[in-house]
Amino acid sequence: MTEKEEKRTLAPPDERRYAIITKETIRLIAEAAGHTDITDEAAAVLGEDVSYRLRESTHYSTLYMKHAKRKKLTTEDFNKALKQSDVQPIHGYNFPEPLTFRPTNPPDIYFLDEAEVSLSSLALNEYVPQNPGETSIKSHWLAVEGVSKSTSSSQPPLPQQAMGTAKPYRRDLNGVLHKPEYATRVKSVKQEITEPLQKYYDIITNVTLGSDTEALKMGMRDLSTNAQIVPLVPHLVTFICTEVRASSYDVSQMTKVLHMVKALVSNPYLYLEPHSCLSQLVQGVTYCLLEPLAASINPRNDHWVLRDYAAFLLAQILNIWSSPINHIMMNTVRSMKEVLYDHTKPFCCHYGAVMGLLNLGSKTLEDILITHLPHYWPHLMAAIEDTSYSNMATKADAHKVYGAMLQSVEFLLLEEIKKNKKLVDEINPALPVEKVEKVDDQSNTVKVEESITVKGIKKEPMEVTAGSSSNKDLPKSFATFYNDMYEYFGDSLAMKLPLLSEICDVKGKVFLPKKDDKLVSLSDPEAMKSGEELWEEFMEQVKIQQKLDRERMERERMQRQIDYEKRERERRLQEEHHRLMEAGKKRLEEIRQAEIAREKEEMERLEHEQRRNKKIAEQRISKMLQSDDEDDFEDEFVPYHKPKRFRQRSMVQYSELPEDADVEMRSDISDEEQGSSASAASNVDLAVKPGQGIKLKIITRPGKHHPNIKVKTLEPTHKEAKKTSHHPHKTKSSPHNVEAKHSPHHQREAKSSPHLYKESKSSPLAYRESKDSPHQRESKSSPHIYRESKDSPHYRESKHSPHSHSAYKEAKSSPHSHRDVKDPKHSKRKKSGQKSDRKDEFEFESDPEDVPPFSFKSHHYSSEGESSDGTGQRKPLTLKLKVKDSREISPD
Amino acid sequence: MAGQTPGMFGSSRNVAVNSTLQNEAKSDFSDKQTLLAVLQFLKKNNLKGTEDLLKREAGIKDDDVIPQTAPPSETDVSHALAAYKSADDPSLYMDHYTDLKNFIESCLDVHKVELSMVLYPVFVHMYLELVYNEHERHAIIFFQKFSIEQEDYYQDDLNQLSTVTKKEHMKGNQLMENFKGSRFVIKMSRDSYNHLKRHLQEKKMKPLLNIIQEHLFIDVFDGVPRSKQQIQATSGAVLGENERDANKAKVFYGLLKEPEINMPVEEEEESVEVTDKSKKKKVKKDPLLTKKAKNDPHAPQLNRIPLPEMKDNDKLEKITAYREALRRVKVGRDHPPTICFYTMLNSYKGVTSLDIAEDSSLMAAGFADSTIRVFSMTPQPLRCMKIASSLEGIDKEADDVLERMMDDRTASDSKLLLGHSGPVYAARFSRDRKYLISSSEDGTVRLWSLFTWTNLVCYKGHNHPVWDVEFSPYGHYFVSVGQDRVARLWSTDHHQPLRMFAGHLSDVDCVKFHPNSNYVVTGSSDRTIRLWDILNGNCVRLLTGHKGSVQVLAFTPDGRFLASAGVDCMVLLWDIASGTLLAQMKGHTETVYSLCFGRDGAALASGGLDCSVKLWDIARVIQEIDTEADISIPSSVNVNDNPKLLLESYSTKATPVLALHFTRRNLLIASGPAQIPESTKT
Repeated sequence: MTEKEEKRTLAPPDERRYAIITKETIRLIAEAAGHTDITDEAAAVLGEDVSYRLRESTHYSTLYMKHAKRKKLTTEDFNKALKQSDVQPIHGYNFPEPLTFRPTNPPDIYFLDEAEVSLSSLALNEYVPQNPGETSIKSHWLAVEGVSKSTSSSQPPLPQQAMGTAKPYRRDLNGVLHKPEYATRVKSVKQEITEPLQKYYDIITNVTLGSDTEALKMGMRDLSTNAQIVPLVPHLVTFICTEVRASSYDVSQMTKVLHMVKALVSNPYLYLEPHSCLSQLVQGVTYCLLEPLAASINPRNDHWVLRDYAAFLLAQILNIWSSPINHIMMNTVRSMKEVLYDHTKPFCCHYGAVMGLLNLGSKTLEDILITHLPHYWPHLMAAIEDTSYSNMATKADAHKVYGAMLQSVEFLLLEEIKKNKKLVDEINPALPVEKVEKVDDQSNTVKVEESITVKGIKKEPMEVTAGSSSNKDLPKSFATFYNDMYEYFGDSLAMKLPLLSEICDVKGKVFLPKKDDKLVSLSDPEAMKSGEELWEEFMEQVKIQQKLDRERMERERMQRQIDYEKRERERRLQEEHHRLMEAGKKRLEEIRQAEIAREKEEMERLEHEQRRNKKIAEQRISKMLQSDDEDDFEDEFVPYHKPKRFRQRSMVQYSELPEDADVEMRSDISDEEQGSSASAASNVDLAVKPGQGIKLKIITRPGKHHPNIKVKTLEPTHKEAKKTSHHPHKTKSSPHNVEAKHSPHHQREAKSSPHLYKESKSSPLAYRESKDSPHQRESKSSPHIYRESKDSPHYRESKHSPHSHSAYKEAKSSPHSHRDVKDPKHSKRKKSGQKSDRKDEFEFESDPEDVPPFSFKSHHYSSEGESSDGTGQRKPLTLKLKVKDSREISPD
Repeated sequence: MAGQTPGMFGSSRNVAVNSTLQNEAKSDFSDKQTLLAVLQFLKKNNLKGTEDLLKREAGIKDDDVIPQTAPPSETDVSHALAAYKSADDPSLYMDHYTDLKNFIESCLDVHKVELSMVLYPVFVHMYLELVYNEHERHAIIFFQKFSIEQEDYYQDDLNQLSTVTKKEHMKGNQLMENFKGSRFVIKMSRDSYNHLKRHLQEKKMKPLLNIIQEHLFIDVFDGVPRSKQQIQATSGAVLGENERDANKAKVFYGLLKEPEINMPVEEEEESVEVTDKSKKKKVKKDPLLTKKAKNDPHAPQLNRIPLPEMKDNDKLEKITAYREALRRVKVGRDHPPTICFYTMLNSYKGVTSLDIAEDSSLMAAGFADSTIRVFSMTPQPLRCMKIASSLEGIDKEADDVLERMMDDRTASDSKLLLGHSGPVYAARFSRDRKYLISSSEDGTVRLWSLFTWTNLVCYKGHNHPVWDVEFSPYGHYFVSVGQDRVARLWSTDHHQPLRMFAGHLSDVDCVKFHPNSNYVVTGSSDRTIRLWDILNGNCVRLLTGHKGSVQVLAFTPDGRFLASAGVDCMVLLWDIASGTLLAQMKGHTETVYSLCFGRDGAALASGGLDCSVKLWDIARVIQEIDTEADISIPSSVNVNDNPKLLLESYSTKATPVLALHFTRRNLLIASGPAQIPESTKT
């Protein structure tokens, strides 16, 4: 006892060195076992003895460890040592996994963290252990003739990574740089690469991570031109990948690294494919694009720009390096798809995915984004419409995604339009292939190959037109697509359309001949007549509608609520539209009031509506004439968005039918007689006024395109784009890329709205533009909000009142869906086209049936509103609004 | 000494002492011991006259006998411990030790190194005396003060020792018993010895004097004192160095004369096989044959120990082996090896042993879950023999009878052998690949048939884990070693061991047959290696120099040299002929578990837990042997520790190297279990 105490006082270091069981512990254990009368002396002796025995057993257990050829002592070993000392082994601790000791909080007690085993699941055989795999041997060459295989220098970093931490002898070599991540990199580089290259690597990495922008520029310039850095590529790529992940909190750092990627990609001397460099690069860039970066937590960090840049860069890499063999395109698209389909991811990821898809082209967009839109939309809208304060950040993000989606849809539409144009090109002998080629020559970037393909493409469509049946599919798909999209995006999409059309119009010359044709048709006295007839028909239709509406109202009281919502939306919309829309607002409100009144008194309302409809029809007709006049100013580009308008109208309004008829005739002509258009050209100038007619043409044309043609048609549009160089995002490879590099944001903005600026001067739209300027300003400053506000009501409308639409259609004895509606139309067109050489005949037959494609009505509305604003005519706008309202109301 | 021996063995477990061993090995010294023992016996029985007579005749003085007066017949621990009984003032010990230290410090540098060797045993015994006499406090202080000064490689022992603070703890402590039961051997030049002696006599420090007299054996040699490096090379064993006398016995390290193999068979085959080159090969072959035909003076007689007769099959085997050998590539300094690595996958249960058959066709792996797996390393699958009834139908005269008796339906790439009830620490093939012998933690050795893939015999002799087992190169015999500190020689047809080789002071960790099958070598946790003669069971070599337990041993193909390695991460090369340490090869960072000499003996491969295979230049060591050196004078022997001996190091990703094997053509096969991070090990 005394000895023991002495020992304590005299030999504290020793006690620390060897674990000792104190007498307190012994007493505690004894009490637990029910022995309370243990003397101090006994406890001390016991404690000493126990600790001695423990040490002895531990010593023995190490023997077992050694013979099991392990470095780690296990409980099994200790049990064997106990067994050797004739002590009962301790069961329950021979855990297959390593035992982890966890401290409690605060950390004064440590315990074994063992998972609980559910006996019931064991008993019920629910627990099925994994098959550990058959024990087997596998051979490989460790060294051949003394040349070590596993550490051969030819294999860059991958094997080392596989080895996990570097081997001891590698640890001796310390990198020059301070950060551990690339200190390790530097190490391995050192072993395999010559001194100057090593220095180069150090400099480049330092520059990239440094703050000297001048040096960075120089470094990047050199990186993109230096031919001698080939051996460094794998290391640079690894550096990029690690750095991107390591600095996800720092947008500027990541941007710098992306610049490095850009430089590497644009270096013509490097071949990135081998050693999985390429896939690593793509992974790194996709990381920037799709990951919820740490930087995006802070809204002040402009990670959107980073994502835009990454998307652009990714598209560039894929364009250059993707091949069917390396699956890179496939994998990338898949990863984007996964992100987009995962609604749990934050919006910034979705934004990245959308931007990535957008940059990859229309095919991927259609395949992934558009197909997923129906599922995604509610998710997005939920975020946008949640006005709670806590949701502010998310809402802003959602707006970003919305903007990106709108942009992609716009892009898709543009693509469609381009295709249409191509068709026009075919039809027009005036636009020979040579023309395009000339353009190519002018722009240096275009290769000869492209022009060849253009030729090929042009030829094919010609054939297609010969077999006219195929042509009609595309306009249909285009129309339905537009309609579908309109349901989501509403007016904000329509807002884009004129702009789009402008862009396309840059090649306006192409369309001139078409117009001529249409004009010819319009100029025909018969067309006018048919319009009158149609108008009468329309009146009848209105009556039928009203009847139907009444029935509906009776049936569905629910619609009222929807109407309220609509009203609210529209109010909002109007507020945002400012004064432009004020007139429209008033009317709308009046109409609504009228509706309410109608609900109370159905009869009254009927009369009211009838009156109004009549009015509208009259005004329309008058406006038609006016607008036609305006259209003259507007030029060729108008046609694109107008066709939709007309279809809508044609549904509702009789007066527009003649124009539709013109369109159809147009298509027929294009199919059968291209020559005739030339002769008609002279008329065009005079009669062009109904610009609508021109629009219709365009619509019908796409229908003639085969889906197959799509791809090919892209290329001519490319050329056109180059020709005009108005459209930055049409072509991935050219001008817009340049823009994007410097300021992706601008790029986006440019896409979304400001086309006008560029083209306005060249086209009469300048007019509009000047008048619309408040709109545009708005859109620039906060495009998303603008869009949103505009769109939402429409969206709602379209979503909530499908019945009215269908019912309306039914009443017209035409199929519900647009496609259905169109098909017969097309077929009839074909027939009629075949049967009759003259458009006149055709018009008559087709007019009533052509009415159905309503899908564009809302566009029409908005676009007209704009155009009318542009032309300074307020009245037509109001009229249209009325029309629209009446239509909406009528189904109700 | 002789009197203490029984005590030592008495305390070790279940060991019958092979008494012949001690006597023969220690010629004149043990003679004296015997005489002393007889004297003591006479004295005890009061046969005064005879005693005096014997004393006079043998020239033994009274004081020689006195130290031995501790009752020799008593094997009881407490009596053996009684040697520590001392009435001295405990505080004196510290002073004396300090004094001794100061004295050694004050010596000339040449002597200082040698004399400082005394410090460790003196320290240990002083401590134990203090503990025994229940001066616990002083003991602990003493220990703390001086334990740090001791050599690194003793720290393990000191750790163990430090736990002993009570008299009761001394009982049953293995290390304690070793210390009290044997003398600590120190080699010292005469000059140094005289220095020490004079000092001790002058100072008259009784406890110190007692300890040195009773517990130290100072082996004095004439010659210059050894350098520090020389001393370091051979020290490290639990009980100091080997005595010079221990390695005096002659060892027949030569290979056995190859029995006459009817060459016609070979030539026939060869001529059929290679028509053009046959002449060349014959030319090559002839000198070899004649050389082997000659009588090697170092080779034992063919019938020195009875060996099984060669069967036709064995002869065929020899011939193919020989033919393979002709195509052998060189491996050495200028001829780097080709290494094929066999990774054991999904070895969740922990691989405890790996062995590759001599002809590189089979691999056996023992697992911690007491299973053994045999893998085929050739495209040839492993098959069972047909059942007895269908065997009867086979034409026994047919040439391909061996082929016919196998059942193709049972073919598989690996076979599982179940029978042990503890981790299998060794599983080795017989040279003819008919049998597999395995040893386990359950204390049994099992013989398995590779025809029927069943257990044939279970040899129960060790009651403690059997760490290693090995088949004789000529079959029939096998030797097993284990925790009971004894190596046992068995023949497959006896259920009891033929010989027991006792002498190690701690677990015997590994064992290896000499290529001529006349000797076995064992490595132990007492950090010594012993070579035993199978004929008489004597320990003919005691090799000290390892600083940690010895885990693996390997003979050169010519049987002259022995390589050993273990926990101390060093690979040592020994000359069996003289028992001297030739080279110290340092480079490993973890325990070495596998060694293999190239077939031409020029290179040695080693591998271990540090996941690397290292290749050592043995040819260079042999080249640089100083033939002038007088082995009897330890200071003239130098150890080659040239770092250039390491030829190359090949790293695996994360696989420890547990087996190394040179094929007959000198392709190096390495093997180990893939380490799947942490979780897989049991």
